[in-house]
Amino acid sequence: MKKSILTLTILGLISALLLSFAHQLLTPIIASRQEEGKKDIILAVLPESNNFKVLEKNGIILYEGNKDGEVAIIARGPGFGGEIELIVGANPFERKVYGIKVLSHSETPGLGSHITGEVFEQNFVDKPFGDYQVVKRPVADLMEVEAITGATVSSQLVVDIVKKAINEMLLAYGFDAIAITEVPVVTGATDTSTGATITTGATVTTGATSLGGGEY
Amino acid sequence: MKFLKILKNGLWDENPTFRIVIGMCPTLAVTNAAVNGLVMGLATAFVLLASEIIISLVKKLIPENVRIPSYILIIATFVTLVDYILKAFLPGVASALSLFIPLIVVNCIILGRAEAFASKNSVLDSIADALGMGLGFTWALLLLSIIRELLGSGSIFGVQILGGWYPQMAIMLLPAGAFISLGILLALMNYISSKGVK
Repeated sequence: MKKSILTLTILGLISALLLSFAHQLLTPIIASRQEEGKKDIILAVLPESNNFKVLEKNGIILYEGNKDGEVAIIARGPGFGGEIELIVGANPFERKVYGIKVLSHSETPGLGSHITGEVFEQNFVDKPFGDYQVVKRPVADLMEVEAITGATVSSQLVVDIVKKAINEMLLAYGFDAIAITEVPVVTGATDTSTGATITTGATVTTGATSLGGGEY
Repeated sequence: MKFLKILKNGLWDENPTFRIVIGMCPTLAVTNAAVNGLVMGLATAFVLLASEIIISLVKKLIPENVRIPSYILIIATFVTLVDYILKAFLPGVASALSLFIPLIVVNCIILGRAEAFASKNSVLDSIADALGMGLGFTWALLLLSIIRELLGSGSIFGVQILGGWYPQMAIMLLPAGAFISLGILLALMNYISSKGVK
């Protein structure tokens, strides 16, 4: 009995010592990776800027690039499996989107998770502001976005968040918001009354209680 | 010679995925892209190797009645280390594997080999067993994930192989696809073994 307690105590101490050492050593690297990652992502949606400053306009946080007119904004909204957070780089004066990047999501792995893929993100590169429509075929004009196969809902919800981000940015710079068509969708989460339809300029509330992404 | 025999045992004769069919949770869940399968396999192999070495070294010091908690403690230590290292150096893969890295702690391959092998054998034999089992698990995951990524996304390691004409079979990326591919591979492995291929 005594020996058992002693063994576990000693093992626990060694383990704790080793891990706290590793933690000390690696936490700064992990934190700087995340910080770098965020910086890289912001610059990735601002094509000609190589630096940016964070500012607040009308209560909205914006990342203004050092190249005139290039602005990034972070927006959130409900996804199929949970909240989607993405960043939109755009020019509110020339009224066009430079590109988007999804920061976090819990969409179905292998289906909705393709919203982070280059193919889908390419939909938004150099796109004029507008009331984008999701289509299940190759796009025919600039106001269309091609849905991901097997993830039409995720695609629609991303488009909704992008449109909402555009409007927030327009309002922050004192422009009028664009009109948005509301497309009802059913999400995989419990509550389908859902904040999937986003009212102009308003803060999106996730109507759906996220169960997390897991089918596993 | 014995070293090679133990090594081959893990790689083929008692391959954890195809012969013993253990560690199914990560096998089915993370193999939707080749890179995920590979990193998951290697992370598990590393934890297995480190744990088997330590356990075979301290096996005489650990009293019989607390051996399982002791093994879990040792395994958990290495898993946490791997988790930190992946987050620091491969953040992309770390976020794709998310929960499944911490879950290596309860992967039955590792506890199974610790109990069945490392606690009874020498350090050298344990290293052979860990390498065999670890790499056996890795190649199984890699094979499964290559098949699923190719059929599901038309790519391997993110490189597009099949062009736009290919109707990507989304089901291959879902849990159902994992079961189907694993079942077919298991049948194939059984067939090969039954033919007495050495």
